[in-house]
Amino acid sequence: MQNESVRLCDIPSGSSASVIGFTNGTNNGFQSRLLELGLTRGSCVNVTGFAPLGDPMIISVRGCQLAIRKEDAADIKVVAA
Amino acid sequence: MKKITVALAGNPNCGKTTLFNNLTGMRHHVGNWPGKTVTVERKEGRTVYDDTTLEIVDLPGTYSLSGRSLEEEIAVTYLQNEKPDVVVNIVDAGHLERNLYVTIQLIELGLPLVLALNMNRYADSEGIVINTKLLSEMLGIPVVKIEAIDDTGKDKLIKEILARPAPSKKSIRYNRELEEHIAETEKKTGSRWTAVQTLIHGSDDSQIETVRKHITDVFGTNPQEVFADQRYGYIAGVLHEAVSRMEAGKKNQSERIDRIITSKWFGFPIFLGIMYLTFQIVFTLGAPIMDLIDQGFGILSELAAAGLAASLAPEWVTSLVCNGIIGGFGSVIVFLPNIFLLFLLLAILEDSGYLARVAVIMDRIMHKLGLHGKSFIPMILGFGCSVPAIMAARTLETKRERYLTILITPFMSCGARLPVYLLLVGIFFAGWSQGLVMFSLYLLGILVALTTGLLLRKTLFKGESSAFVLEMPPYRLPTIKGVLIHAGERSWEFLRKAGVIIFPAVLLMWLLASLPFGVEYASSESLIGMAGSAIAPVFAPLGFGFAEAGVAILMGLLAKEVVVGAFGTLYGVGDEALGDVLMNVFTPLSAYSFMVFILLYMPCLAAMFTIKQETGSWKLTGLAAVGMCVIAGIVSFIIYQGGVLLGFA
Repeated sequence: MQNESVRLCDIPSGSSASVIGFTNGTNNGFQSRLLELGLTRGSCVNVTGFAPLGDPMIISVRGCQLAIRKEDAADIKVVAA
Repeated sequence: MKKITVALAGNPNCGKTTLFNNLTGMRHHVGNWPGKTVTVERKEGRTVYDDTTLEIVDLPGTYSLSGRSLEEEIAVTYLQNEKPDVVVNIVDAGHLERNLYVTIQLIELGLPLVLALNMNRYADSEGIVINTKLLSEMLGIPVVKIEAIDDTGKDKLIKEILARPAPSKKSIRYNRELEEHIAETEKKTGSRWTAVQTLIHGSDDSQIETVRKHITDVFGTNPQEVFADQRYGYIAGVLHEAVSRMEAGKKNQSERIDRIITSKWFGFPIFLGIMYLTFQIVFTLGAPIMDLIDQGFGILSELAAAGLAASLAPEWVTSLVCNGIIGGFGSVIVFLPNIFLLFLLLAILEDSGYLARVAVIMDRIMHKLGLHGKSFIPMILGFGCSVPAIMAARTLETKRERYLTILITPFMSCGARLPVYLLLVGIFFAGWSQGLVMFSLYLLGILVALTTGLLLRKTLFKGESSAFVLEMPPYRLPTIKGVLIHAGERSWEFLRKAGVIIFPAVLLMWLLASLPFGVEYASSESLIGMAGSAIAPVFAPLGFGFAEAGVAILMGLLAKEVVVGAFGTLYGVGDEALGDVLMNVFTPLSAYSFMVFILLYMPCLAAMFTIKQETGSWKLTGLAAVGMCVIAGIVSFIIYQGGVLLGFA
């Protein structure tokens, strides 16, 4: 069963999602940085929270915690897990 | 005696620098990586075991070896060109999956490698069990468990280094489709590594581009994603065999701490509380030591004067030694306690992982200015001293963000401006309003910095800020040794930098204040006095259009706290009588306007010199100097004239 693809920035705090790819036209350098940090297809992302002003969001990928701006997370396509 | 070059490589926050310090002790040398407009620290040290000298180079921490960021480029260039005898790859045992990403690339590069598993105690507490023997077999390299903060595993690690391992024969194999294309590309590029790199990042060669297009079609996504996918897939396979996770392991501690530290309600109060505490500690602990140093230099100056008088040295020699050299150096060294304490506390905040959270908390606000959350850290450092603060902007990723941060950081009210406020606030304001005036000055500095940032962003530095992805390292207890080394290095760098510029500057200022021959030091008849009188009318609309203020402002270029001493010399009175004299020339309003000007106009020569060093551009440095003076003039003008209109004159 295939879930609808959503943007990572729309995943609420405390939920997990699985990466399916990047929006076309995502900045190349940025994309490769995210890939190096482990946001490859199928990897599991856990949204652990948001900064006090609501942005950036804090996610956990492959056991590491990362902060990423919502506008950048909008380029990451995920399916809710 | 044999000599082995050892390079330390790995992710940021994996304990690489801690291991470096542990191996080399304090016997190391901080230099710069050559050939770059922007300086990146190059740390080298040596140590001797048995009859072998180990030359140890600390490479910049990187998440990959693709050579896309400055740090990666430096690391890759070094590894490929200088070919170290052994590369020690330090990895965080608690975050093995992400850390091994660099490891498999180091293997792919064909380097003689030793894997040092660090932070095993933390991994143990998380219930992670690593079979080092199996890991070593699978990767084809020696694996040693160490604890960088103490000596655990150090001997074993050194034994492996001295054994000079051969490059691993077990480099990652991609799937057949990719391997065919790599083999094909390798014929063009020469080595497997460059073949993989060109396939990932592209090239001008149309044939290679056709291959990349083909890969994209076959896999349904671009090559860089394909390679990252397969690399992480390979790592997952290795970890599946060599690592097991115990159920009983504790849940991620850091995530739980962050639920409070970065929470909506407590995030900012905790941040403000920690900042307040930091400055409180710096100033209360630092003040008595500063007084002692100040007195020490006073005594030294008196002794020198007496000694020179006894040996019948001409008066100008006495003046040069006492006012110029001793006074000049004294004015720098007196800040050392404050600066060291500030660096010490910041090192604790940094090593514990908290500073990364500050960047996250502040990013929303900084982003509006086209800056990165990380820009806020140099700005905080700016409260201590602009010199190290400007240097701290190195951690920013794009040139645009670095320059913007460097240009606005000097507006943060540094420690050297404090004596000026203390003097004038003490004279012109009383009771509760004193604290308010001081606070308003610090706040004004921040506001001007942010406004200037916004203006620069709309004019000179157009463009979007770089994307923000920041690793939040796990919270860790900082070690005393690590923190001391960290703070000591930065303080030393401040002293060295300040010393380089301060000595010629001191001589120049002394000359200007002593010529023509025979005038009293820094009096209105001296060159600097005349210059001060000449520029004084410019300051009339700001409320302080008299010669002494002009001279004090000029002398303040040496170091801002010199303004206080300059008033003393110009009016020829001691500290006690100075208040009465200043009462006659300033009103509370013009005194405030003067303090605002001192806060905002171009920073001391040491800071300007640092701006030149970090940007590599005299043009930008000159622009900063002029721009800051203009901004100071405008803001003071508005405050003074506005105050007059409101009837505060």
